[in-house]
Amino acid sequence: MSADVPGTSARSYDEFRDLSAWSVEQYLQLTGWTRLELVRNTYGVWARDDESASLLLPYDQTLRDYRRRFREATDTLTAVTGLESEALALEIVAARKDVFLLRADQSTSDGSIPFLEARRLIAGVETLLTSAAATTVRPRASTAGRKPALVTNFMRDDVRMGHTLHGSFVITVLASDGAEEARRRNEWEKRITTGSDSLSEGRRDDDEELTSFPRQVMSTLASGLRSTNQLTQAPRDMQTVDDAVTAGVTAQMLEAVQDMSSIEGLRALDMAFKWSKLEPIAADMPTRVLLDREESKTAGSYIESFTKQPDVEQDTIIGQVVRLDRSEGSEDGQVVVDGVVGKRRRRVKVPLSGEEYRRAIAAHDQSRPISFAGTFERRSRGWRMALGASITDFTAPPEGSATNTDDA
Amino acid sequence: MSAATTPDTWDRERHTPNGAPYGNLHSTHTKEQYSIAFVHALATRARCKVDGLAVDDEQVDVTIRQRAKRLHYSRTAVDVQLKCTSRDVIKKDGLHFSLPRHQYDGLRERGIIPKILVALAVDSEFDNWMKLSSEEILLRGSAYWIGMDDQPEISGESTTLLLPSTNRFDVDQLVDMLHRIDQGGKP
Repeated sequence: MSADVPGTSARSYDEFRDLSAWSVEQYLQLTGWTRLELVRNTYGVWARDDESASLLLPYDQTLRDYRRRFREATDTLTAVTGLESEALALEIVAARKDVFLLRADQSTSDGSIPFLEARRLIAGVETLLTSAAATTVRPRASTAGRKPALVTNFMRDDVRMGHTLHGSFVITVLASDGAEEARRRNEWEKRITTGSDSLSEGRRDDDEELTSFPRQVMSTLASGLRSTNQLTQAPRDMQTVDDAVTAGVTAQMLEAVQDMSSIEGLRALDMAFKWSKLEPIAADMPTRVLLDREESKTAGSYIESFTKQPDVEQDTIIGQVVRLDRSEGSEDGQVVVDGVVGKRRRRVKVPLSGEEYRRAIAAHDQSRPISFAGTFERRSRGWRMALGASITDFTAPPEGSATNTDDA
Repeated sequence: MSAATTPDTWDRERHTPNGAPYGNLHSTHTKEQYSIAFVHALATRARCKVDGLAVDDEQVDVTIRQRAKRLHYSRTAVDVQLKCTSRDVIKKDGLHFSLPRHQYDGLRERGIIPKILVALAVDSEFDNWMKLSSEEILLRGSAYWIGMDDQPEISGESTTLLLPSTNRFDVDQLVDMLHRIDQGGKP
């Protein structure tokens, strides 16, 4: 159902224009549905794994009954999820994109806020995202200055603004790996066109075990905002600042929070995250952070401490070898280490020479923690160590048992 | 009162014994609503589900489904476009129904679920459509159907479809039709 605004091209939510068969299928695939039937270029039949529901999803928009069949499918999803219209659309998008919702909790007049305040909120969100991306590339207390290409590419290619939602004033930010999404869509179109389910759904390269950069940025943003909230309750000392920097707080994040919170009549910044199901998410990652006006003022008083904080680069990772990779006939190889760098959990690819690689195999066989030293390099989908990394230590295993880390 | 001075059935005022006036729904909408009620009653007698009544698009009025398990898709379904006429359209060989080309072309567009046209012929006198008593409601009319998915292209600006006399739209034919669809056949 949609309503056009007379005399304009503006309209309310319209399931046929705001949702696509591709996005609905991605949602189904990631939320416990299985495709039972695929009729080339025409439709797919999906059923929930617990057999509690099934639906037909049409693909071909030129079909006479496309809209009727599509509506039947979304009606079924509404009945299954209890969500309808914009809420259902957001749920569908959030299956494959991380969603950040910033709601300015303030008194409004007829659902509106002053234009200049809206601009401040948008600018504040841009600063939060840019700063989170920059400190993801290289953790530091202040991200002022020229940004790495990875950050500008992220802001250009991977971040989108969704429909604004009702409920005071809500900004919707969607983040996903743009190139990966385009690849997945292309794969999907091939599958629909050929009627074959045999095509791979996985990533095309060997980076599948690494977390995508957009996910890392959004995780940094979430943990940074949570830590900003905690700053207001913690004793003021250097350890507190160190911990906050490790969590992703930057001077720019604090400035943005302070600026947005100073809007007249604002009671709180109510921020929520919905995590895409395409990648695993740490269990302790926040889904909501509420910063009230007074807390934001307190957090703002930390800005100077952050701008004076020296940059520290970590160059050692301690953890478990979770993957070994060596070409046939080669002595050298590459391992993936799941471990900690400072206080941060990371998965890092480490290229190793023959001798070092054999030691890594031994550590893997014995499930023993191992540490590597070297220079970290940020790549589009994760961290690597530059060539020349070396094993610095086999940490002694805990008595009586091997140690395993959880998946990040 | 002579026939010449009797107001048209749609212009005649009707009141309850207590003097309350009937509604003023337009004749076209009255026919539309009646045909839906007619088909709904037949589908109910066949214990089939009628879907999509509130939706008015793609020249489909309702979807009739044989299986009605909640939240479950079933391929045993047919889309139905309803027409209602009080003209003298029933001949020996069936019901002859004229359609302008744009409507005809819309009806024969390809879809996922098969589509039929159901035409309901009713008396020209509105008061004869329905008989109500404390015991029953009797819906009067003769309905015929025709599958629309394989209709040929036409060159003229209109066409007259023959809905054969063998295609009476009744409970048995509806159930048989859905069975054929379930077997992968046509209505």
